[in-house]
Amino acid sequence: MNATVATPRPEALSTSRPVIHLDAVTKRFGAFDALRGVGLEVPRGQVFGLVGPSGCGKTTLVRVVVGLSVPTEGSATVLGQAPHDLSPDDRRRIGYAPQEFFLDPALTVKENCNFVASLYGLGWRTRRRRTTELLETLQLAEAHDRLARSLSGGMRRRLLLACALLHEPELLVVDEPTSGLDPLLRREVWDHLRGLSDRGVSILLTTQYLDEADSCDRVAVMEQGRTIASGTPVELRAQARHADILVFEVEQFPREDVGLLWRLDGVRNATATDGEVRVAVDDGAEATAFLTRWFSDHGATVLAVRTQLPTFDEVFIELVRSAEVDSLD
Amino acid sequence: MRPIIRTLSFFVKWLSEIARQPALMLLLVVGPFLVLLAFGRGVEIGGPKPRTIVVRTGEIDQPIDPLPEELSQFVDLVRETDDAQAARADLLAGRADAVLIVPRDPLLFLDQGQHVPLQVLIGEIDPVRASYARAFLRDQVATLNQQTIAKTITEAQATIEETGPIVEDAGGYLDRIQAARGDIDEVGRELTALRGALRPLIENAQSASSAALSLGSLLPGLRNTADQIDQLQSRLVELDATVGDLEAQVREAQTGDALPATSDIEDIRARLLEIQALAEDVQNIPAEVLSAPFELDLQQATPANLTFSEFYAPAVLALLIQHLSVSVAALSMSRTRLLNIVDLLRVAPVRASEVVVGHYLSYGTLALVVGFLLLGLMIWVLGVPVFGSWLLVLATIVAVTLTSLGIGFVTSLVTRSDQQATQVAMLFLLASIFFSGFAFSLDRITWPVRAVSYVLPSTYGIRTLQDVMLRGSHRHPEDLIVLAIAGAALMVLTMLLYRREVAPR
Repeated sequence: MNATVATPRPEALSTSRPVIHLDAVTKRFGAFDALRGVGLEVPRGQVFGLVGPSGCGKTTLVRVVVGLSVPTEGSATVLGQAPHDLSPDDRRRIGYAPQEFFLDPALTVKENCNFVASLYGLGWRTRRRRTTELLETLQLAEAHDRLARSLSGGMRRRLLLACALLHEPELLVVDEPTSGLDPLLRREVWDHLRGLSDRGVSILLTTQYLDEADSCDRVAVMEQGRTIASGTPVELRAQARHADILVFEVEQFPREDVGLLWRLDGVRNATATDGEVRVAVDDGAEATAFLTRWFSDHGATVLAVRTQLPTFDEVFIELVRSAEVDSLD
Repeated sequence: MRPIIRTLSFFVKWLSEIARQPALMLLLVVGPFLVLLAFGRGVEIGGPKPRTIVVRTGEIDQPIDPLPEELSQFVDLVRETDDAQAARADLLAGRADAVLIVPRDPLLFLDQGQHVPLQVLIGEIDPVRASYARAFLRDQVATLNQQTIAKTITEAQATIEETGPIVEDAGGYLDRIQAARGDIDEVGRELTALRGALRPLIENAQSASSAALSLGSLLPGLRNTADQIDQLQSRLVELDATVGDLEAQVREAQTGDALPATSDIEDIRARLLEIQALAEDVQNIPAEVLSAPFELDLQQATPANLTFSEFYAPAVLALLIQHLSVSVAALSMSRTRLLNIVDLLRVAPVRASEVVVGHYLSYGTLALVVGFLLLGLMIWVLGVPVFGSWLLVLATIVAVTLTSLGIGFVTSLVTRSDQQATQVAMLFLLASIFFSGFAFSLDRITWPVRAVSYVLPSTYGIRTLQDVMLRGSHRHPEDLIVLAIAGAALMVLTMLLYRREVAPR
């Protein structure tokens, strides 16, 4: 999965005021807390990812940011103002592509672009130029006269993205931009988002694909309505107090015996594929010799050992575990 | 510039949608037109003659005379019977529209100075049709009465129309009596012949007097004529008595007596002339005039006599514009909500006023295009006249459209689903059919129900369009003012409700 996403810029930190600032934001629907004291800052010009499982509050947070929802408690500031109180001129500075399709299915791709561009007050020439550019970029040019209702899920997502970008916003808020896209399209969407970020557009996006977090400049991990960690991907890995990952290339090791590894002290996780056993351990240096001996004792031959960075899935799991432990404490 | 672009965005979007479905426009314009055309061509104003069973009461040894003969002009006579139960069963089974129960001998009632009872049973459950049937039957019975009376008077006049020749003959007898004075036998024969000549006149006068007095006791308007006939009959009886007295004198007289006296002959001659004058007076007035002294001369003060379709065309137009506007506007927000487009409108830099005006522009254009096309078809194909100001007609259509759109938009913003919005639009249509003056004129709708009428834009639209188009006058100029104020108020309310709708939650 890592192969499908773009690489973030080495350093995209900005010292200017954050474009989005949330301070202890809580959003309550009846007795249900969709957001619980969320605080985060999105620096200008960066790609900020909100990751977390479905239902963790990402979309609610996005709706607060674009002004569709008002926090029950806490405060939100977008472009220096409360998002639900933005003037039309400030709204023109924000592009929004929601998770759910909110364009008119009875209109064609081009008509929808035209409608959205008109809502943002773009003149005829600009509308035409931007529509052509974006449909080309997002590979929708050939579908320009197709009704939106006849588009595939992926095309709809790209159309939403195109419409969010028509007026060249300085802040782009995208909810699940790659949901339902095939790996190639995901890569293209990410390339496009990175390109926008390079041009100075600040981006807040949500994703369920944890590996995509590696493509963000900064990431907030959400779980059950709260942010359990926030920082650059590198910082999060550190924050996760992650295990070292040792990958053993082995022969004559039955895959079903991988469960035996779980019982060993210092082993957090172990998975086996054909010819490879991947073991997460507390201390890689100490465990390498020990585990090499353990494999030999079990009749297996270790051909090679290498260390690997944990995937973001593993980081996420670790962060969630830590958060659970913290909350128990 | 940007507010204009944003406002027009809704119009352009709507235009794109509508351009993709030309059948919709065709349906909206041609549909109501065809309905109106069929209505105008296929609905009879008077309706067919009611199928009627005549039930004769009493003995049935002779046909009813003269009523059935006249009745057949007004009703479609199914059959005559004396079985009232069977006739009633046929009525309830729908094999007849009415059962007419008439007495055996209607003239007997007249002779006794009583109305002839005509009992009519109808099987109509529709109160409008039942009301129409009652009015129709009352009218027909009045006509029947008039014809019956005319017939009786004609017969009475016919009986005394020989008065002139008989009086002339009687003059001849008097000449011969004058000449034969002294010849008692000859005078006696002539006097007997004179009485014989007067006899049928007296009998006819008695018969005519009897009939006329019967009618006169029922119809005060005929009393004068009845009195004249009675007077004629009395004069004839008195004359007969006078001549009889002379005849007796002559019979008892002796040959050579100069009887009757010349003064007696002249007296008889004078009374004969008086009788003739009386008879002429009775005959001078035609029976039709005597039976119906007042003749209705109904004239239209308005510019034209209208057909059904011409009369209803402006009402259909107003009703259609209202229904179309309310329906499309009522569904607008629920569709926007359903498709989640409302979120796009919330985040976009578009003001409530721009959204509302944009929607008015889009749906208003639809309603106005349909309205104007239908108006054109009505005028140039159905021949519906426009006697008044074209400008007022167009202004009324615009005012009804704007007000109805306002009702529709408010409905769409206070209802939470398509079904609710559709139901409200249907209720408006139903209320409009009953209370807007479309089916029943406003003056037949009593308060407080009439308040409902004044809530409906079509009430003002129908009244103004019918006045301006068909009367050529504008009798309620306040209607347009009411529509304009209501339209503006509804637009403001729509904006407020829209702001509430898109407010962050």
